[in-house]
Amino acid sequence: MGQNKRLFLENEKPKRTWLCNFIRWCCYVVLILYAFLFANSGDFIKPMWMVPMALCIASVSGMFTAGAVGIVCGFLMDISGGTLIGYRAMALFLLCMAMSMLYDRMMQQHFLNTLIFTAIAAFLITGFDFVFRYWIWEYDHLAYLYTHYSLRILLYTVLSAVVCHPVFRLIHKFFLPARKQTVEKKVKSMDE
Amino acid sequence: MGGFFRSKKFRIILCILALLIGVMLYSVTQDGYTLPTTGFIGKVLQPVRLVSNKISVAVEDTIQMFKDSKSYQDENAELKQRVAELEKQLVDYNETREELEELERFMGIKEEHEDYVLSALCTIIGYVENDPFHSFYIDQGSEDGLSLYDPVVTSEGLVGIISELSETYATVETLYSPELSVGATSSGTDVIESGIIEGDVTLTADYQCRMIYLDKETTLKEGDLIVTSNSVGIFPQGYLIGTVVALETTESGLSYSAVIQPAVDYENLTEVMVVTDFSGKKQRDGAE
Repeated sequence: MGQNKRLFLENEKPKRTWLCNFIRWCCYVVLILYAFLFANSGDFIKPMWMVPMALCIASVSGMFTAGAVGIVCGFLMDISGGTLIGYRAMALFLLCMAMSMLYDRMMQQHFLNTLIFTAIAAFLITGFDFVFRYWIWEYDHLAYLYTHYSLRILLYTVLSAVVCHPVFRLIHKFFLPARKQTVEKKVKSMDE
Repeated sequence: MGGFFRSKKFRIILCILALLIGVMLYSVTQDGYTLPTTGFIGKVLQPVRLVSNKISVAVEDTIQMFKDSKSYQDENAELKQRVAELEKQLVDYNETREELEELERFMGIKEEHEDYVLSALCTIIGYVENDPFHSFYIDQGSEDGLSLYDPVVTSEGLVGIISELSETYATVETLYSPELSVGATSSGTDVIESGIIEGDVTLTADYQCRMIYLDKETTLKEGDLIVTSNSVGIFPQGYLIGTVVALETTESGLSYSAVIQPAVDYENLTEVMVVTDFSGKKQRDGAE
């Protein structure tokens, strides 16, 4: 089996891999830009699209690439959310790195995993937002703020993962180089 | 042949021709009026003529359509292009007209308050993501002469202040924000009532804010106008904020608060102006 796996890795065409990676990252950039524009596009409560997007990218990237994606998406979220620049970037940097590590060693590409991770990330980010923007400044009606705004954003963000996951799955299906696809899937197909 | 001229048939034909000529001569003498018989026949046959005419026109049109299809296509394309051009002109015209109306309204501010130094018209370029207090970004910044904490207005009333400034854009914090306190007084009432306008998260969804610290003996009532008081020199004095919608007692029961409906229609707000200087501000700067 080990020999087969080596053969598979050696048989990849570098030119095609480069092209796939290029198209894949172009898709990421377009989607991230869409998320950024959407975030500023109206005076209503909307999901933080950037969170599931960053996590989906992190799930198939190396630890540092995932971290870099987290920082970029976090900075964009800071700009669109009018928060202290770097605060969401830091949170998303850590979350993306954790996501990458977990997917690298323990987890498989699965809709439920994306959903759970998005929920955890959204909970943490909306929680930090709530604490640092309202709670420590002793705003009135904190419970109202949490239930009517923070919780709604959290819920919408989790729901946005339902849309994000299939979109990214499609991108990864066509443009993720085979080498980066889950090893166990390849090994399984080779065993068969 | 000679037999035909002598036959009955020829005579009948001659009679008919003579009759017809007679009718013709008679109708000539009628000065354009139809003969009673023909009038009657025409009347009876009018619907039939109408229908037949319609059919013939339709058939003619269909034939013509096939014959002229190429020219129709060309004409259609030309007309479509013309319509597109006219629509574009109409859009341009509408945009220009709206802009002009907006400028006219803003010119009104300048006429009413000569001491104001107003910025150019600022367009709202986006909203702060998921902000319950409706903060937004405008397309002008420090490069355009704006400063931090400059009041932001429309011709209808006060909008808020600049809370964050970059070179090319600025963030505007609205009256709905609890972080923004505006000194306010009533206008046009017998007794001048003073208070502080602050945002209240339970009211922001309805685009309303609250005037707090009103006396227990307040005479404010629904419909009263509230204007800025310029107590700290941040906002120009006497600028409209909104109207009183309701009066409520505070939890302690020691004072009243009023629910205020801002004069500015935030839901449809697209352009604002920044008051970069005004007389009260100068005094404050001088004092500093």
